[in-house]
Amino acid sequence: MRILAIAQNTFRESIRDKVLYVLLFFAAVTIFGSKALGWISIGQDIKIVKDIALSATSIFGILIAIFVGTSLIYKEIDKRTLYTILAQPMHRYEFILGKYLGLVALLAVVTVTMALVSSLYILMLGGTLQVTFFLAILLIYGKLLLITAFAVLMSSLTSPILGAIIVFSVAVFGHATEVFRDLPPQFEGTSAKAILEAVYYVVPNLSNFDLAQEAANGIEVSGAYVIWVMAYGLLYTVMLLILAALAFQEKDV
Amino acid sequence: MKARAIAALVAVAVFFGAVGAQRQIHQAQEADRGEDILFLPNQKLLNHFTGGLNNIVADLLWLRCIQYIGTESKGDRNFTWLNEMVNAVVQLDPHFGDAYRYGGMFLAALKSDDDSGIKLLERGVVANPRNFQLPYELAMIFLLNRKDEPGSKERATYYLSMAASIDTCPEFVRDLATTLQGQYNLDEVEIGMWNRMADSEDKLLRELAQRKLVEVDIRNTTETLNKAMLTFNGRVGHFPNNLEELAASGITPVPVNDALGGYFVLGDDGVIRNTTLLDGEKKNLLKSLQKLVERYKEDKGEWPPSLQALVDGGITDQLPEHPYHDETWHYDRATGLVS
Amino acid sequence: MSAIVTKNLSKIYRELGKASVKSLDGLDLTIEKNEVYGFLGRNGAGKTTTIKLLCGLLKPTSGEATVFGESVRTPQARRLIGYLPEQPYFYEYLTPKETIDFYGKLQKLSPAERAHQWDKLSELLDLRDIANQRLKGFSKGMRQRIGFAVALVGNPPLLILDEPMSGLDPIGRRMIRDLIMRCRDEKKTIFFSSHVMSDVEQICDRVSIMVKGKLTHRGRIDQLLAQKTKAVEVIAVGLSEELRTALGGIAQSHRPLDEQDIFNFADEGEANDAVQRIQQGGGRIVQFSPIRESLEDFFLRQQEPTVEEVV
Repeated sequence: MRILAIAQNTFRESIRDKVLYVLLFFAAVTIFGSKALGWISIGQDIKIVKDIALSATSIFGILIAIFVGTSLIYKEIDKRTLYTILAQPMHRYEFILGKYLGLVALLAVVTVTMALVSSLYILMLGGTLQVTFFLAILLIYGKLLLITAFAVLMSSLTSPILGAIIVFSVAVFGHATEVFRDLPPQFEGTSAKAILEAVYYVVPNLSNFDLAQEAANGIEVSGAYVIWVMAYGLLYTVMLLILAALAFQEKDV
Repeated sequence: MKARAIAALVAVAVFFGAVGAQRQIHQAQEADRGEDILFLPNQKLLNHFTGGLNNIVADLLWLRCIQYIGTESKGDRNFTWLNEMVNAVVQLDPHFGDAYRYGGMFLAALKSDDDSGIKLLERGVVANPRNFQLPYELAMIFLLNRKDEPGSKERATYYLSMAASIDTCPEFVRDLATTLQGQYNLDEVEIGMWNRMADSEDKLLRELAQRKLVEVDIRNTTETLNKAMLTFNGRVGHFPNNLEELAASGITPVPVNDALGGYFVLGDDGVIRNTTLLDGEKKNLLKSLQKLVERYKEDKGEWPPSLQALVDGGITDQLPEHPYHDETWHYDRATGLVS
Repeated sequence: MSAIVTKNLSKIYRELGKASVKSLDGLDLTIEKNEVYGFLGRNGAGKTTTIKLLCGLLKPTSGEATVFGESVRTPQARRLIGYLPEQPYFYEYLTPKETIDFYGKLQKLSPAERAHQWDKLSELLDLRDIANQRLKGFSKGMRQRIGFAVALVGNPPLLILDEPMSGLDPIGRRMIRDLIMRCRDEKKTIFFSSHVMSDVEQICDRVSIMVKGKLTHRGRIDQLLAQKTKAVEVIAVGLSEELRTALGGIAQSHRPLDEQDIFNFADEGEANDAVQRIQQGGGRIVQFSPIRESLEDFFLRQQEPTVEEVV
């Protein structure tokens, strides 16, 4: 019940954050503006709108996750709201979990909004929507959950600016981890192979969550793939949250 | 504190769970792509560093490409960079069907660079095995642009057959493929294709091509052996009772094993067959049968009571024969598995 | 069982690249039930550090502390504490009523209990009028009231207040003092830090003084100050000019006020002599008051000898 109370509070508070609305505004502008690019194509306008809608959801979602997530704990300390809360008879992890769930709810609202806006826009332009498109959005949400957990972890460990930089770098690098997957076979028989593989598994593989190509080109994706990606996201997120709870447990406030 | 240690251990366990899930994801990706078509790993390097925005960059690049085509059309009409641009686009977004189609079309028509167009479309076929338009375009290039070249009709037939084998292909393509198949011999075309792939930089593709060449070789050997049977009959007056007899006649050498570990058998019906090829055929047919069974389940909501139900239920016109004449398909109604 | 017991409680802050700071050094403290205990010290003496350690916000570097027998590192201990931080801040967009409700939820109180808490606390702290206004824009005094209400949610037996009077006007300070007294009447224990001595003198049973992280003095106020009489004030009327000048020379200070002469003598001996001379000289004593050293004087005296800062 405590976790829920904190989650509700976090949600209500972050909904009031003006940064959120600025980012959403730019996301909308980007999506609506993408039609203009379509005018100079030879019939690829729907594909382009879909591409941009999904990418905008991904990017702005990540930005929101980072900005709101990393400043989470810091804002509470800076404004001293944290002291009276942590002095209550509750475990520290309840606070972290509550904060995270509040953010998760916020991101759900953001993602659904962007999905609705994109879908309506695409339909309005005469395009069709396949299941893959909505699966792509679902996976983007999964990716945001992972990144947010990372942001919460960082906010327990370091200042918001440094934390934001770290999470942002991991978010970019996480899309590129496939490099480490492709290299090992060429290092067969050396220790470098083991190291590269280890790096590949440790860094979160965010390209798993990327179905934009399939969605925009109307290609089907197997249910097994989607399920395993969401499982991966969930497991990795849980690990990050456990680490965040451990870090926060020991933190001097 | 004990609770902390437990939490840390749980975190580690969860991490390995994530590793497991990642491996499953790899498997699912492979399954999606289909068995015989392989991705080209080292060309994906460019994709990695655009932070998940490949498709957007591909789009922008494609738009740039179209503008380039427009400008060049009004100017010198050299289209010098067209090939590089289009290839960059599909490198970033390998599923960008239109880029392959129009790119191939423009390269062949506007730049008169058939070879680049063909290469582009072939690349598209590898990456998009379920898109019938790409092999279709390829066939058209051979039929129309290169119709006076030797072997072009064979290649067109080959690509049309490929297009026809894809589910979503329209009827007229199937008809055209059947017509051409009747007329042209596909073997040479196929050998040419695999030979080209055997020169590829990619280890996996090389291996695939080599294997395929051996398979073609086995097929030819099987045919030669069967022709030798007829010759034997012509000379001696009856068919050989076993392979040793045929070998002893000296008409043609009779290998016992093939290069891939299978062997030749003389069937009851007097036809020589090869187990490697039969196994390959069996595997492919199993896959299609399995797909049919699953389609039945999607349609009717339950596993079919028998394989015959697939025909009765309108899922397919005819059940394929088992390549081994003395065996039949096994079907387990409880699990829906064909074996 | 004592309300608070600390044993050798210490806190060293270490930061990369900076010298470590020992902000609390071996604190041994015992606070009894139903006491009003004042915790004194300058800024940076370790008061807030101690309070945060007791409330579980900081982890001690060494030593331990318990609250009613429960270790302060556990949530159970925090159930027994009502904490009011210095300059408390709450979520701006909530109203007082929502704030109390929120903290009630954190304590897992049922909706009925939460409503009851609100009734009780809004009455006690006069929050009824502002019950549904958002906290944004509240004055310091209003925030302090809400902070006190939050500390009282769940009716904890121990109140720990960090500089509860700071920044308030006299009316506000009076209100806090009255609240503390009222809580004492309800058998609560109150432990608060301050550097406003006059407030402390009025309401505390016992005090401790912290200097640079170390506890230097503790005990009942009247015992700490028992020794010294700072001066004696004698107010007289009807003095002759001669006597006035003579006494003015002996006294520490002399101030005429209307018809009165106000003298400060260094000790009772001199004062008594002066009284005799005034009475012999035909004057009248209006007032004779020994001025005890105030807590402030005592406190300031402790600051002078420098205690080594242990690194």
